[in-house]
Amino acid sequence: MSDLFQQESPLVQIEFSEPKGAAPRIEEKPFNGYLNLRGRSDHTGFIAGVLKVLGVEAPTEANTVIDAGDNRIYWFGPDEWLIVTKPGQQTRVRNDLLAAFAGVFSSVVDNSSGLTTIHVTGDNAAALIATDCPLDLHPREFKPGQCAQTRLAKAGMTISPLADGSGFELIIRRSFADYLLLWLQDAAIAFE
Amino acid sequence: MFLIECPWCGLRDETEFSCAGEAHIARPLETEKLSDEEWADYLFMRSNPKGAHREQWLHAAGCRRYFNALRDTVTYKISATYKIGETPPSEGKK
Repeated sequence: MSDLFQQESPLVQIEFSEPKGAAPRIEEKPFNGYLNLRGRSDHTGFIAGVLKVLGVEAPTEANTVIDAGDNRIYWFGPDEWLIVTKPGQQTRVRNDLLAAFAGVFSSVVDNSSGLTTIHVTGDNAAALIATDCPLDLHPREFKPGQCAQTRLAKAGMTISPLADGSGFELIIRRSFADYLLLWLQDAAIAFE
Repeated sequence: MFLIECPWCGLRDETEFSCAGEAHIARPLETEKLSDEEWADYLFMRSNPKGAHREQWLHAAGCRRYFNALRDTVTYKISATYKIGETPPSEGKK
C-alpha cells in the first residue's frame, strides 16, 4: 500500500538552477526527519533518555546546535529542542526516545512533513540573507555551532552557519517554503 | 533598528517581539468570592503609567518565551529585561 505514495518535497515545483555570477547557490536538502522535543533539562530521567538515544545531552546553552552522530539537536528554548535526523530515521528515533522517556515528563512530536532545509552557500550567502533578516550574520557574532530562530522576509526560520563556513542552513516551514524560495531566488538576482 | 534584549537569546530586532501587556498582575485567589467589580478590575483595569512600566513581552519569532521588561512609556527606552519569576530590578537601573 505504501508503495503507492511517493514522498514529495514541498519545493517540488521550484526550479533550482546553477548560480550566475556572484550569486549564492541555493539548494534544498529534502526529506530530513524533524522531531520536536520538549522536556525539563533539569530532570535526570529526561537527560538520561536523550543521552541514551542520541549519545549526547540536549544543549542547554541558548541558540546552540550540536551534532549527535547522524542527528543534530537545535536549542529552541529552555525546554524545547529540534532534532533533525537523516531521511527515514525519524520514526525510529522518535520511538526510541518515547521508550527511553517512559514515565518522564516530556513530549516528542514528529514534524517531518512540516519543515524542510535549504542551504545557501557562496561568498554572498550572508549578504543575500541579510537582504531581509534582522540577525547579525557576521562570523564574529554568528559562528558554526550557533543557531537562531528569526525571520527571513517576514517568515519564521531557523538559521545556523554551516560547519565549513561556506554559508548557512535554513530550516523553513513547508507552508512558507514556496514563498521563501521564490523570494531567495529573486533576491539573488542582485548578485548576478 | 530597535533592539530588545531577550533574557534567553540576547539582543534581537524588535520585529521578533510582541508586547503582552502589563506584568506582575497576580490572579486573585478564590475567584468565586470576588465581586463583579473586583473581577473586572483584575481582568480589564491596567495602570497605564507615564514613565517606567513593567510589561510582559514575547519573543514571538525567536525562542517563543515570555519575559518581563521595564519600559519607559514616554521614551520607549527598555532599561531592563528579566525572566518570568525573577525579581524585577529597581526602576531605572540596569
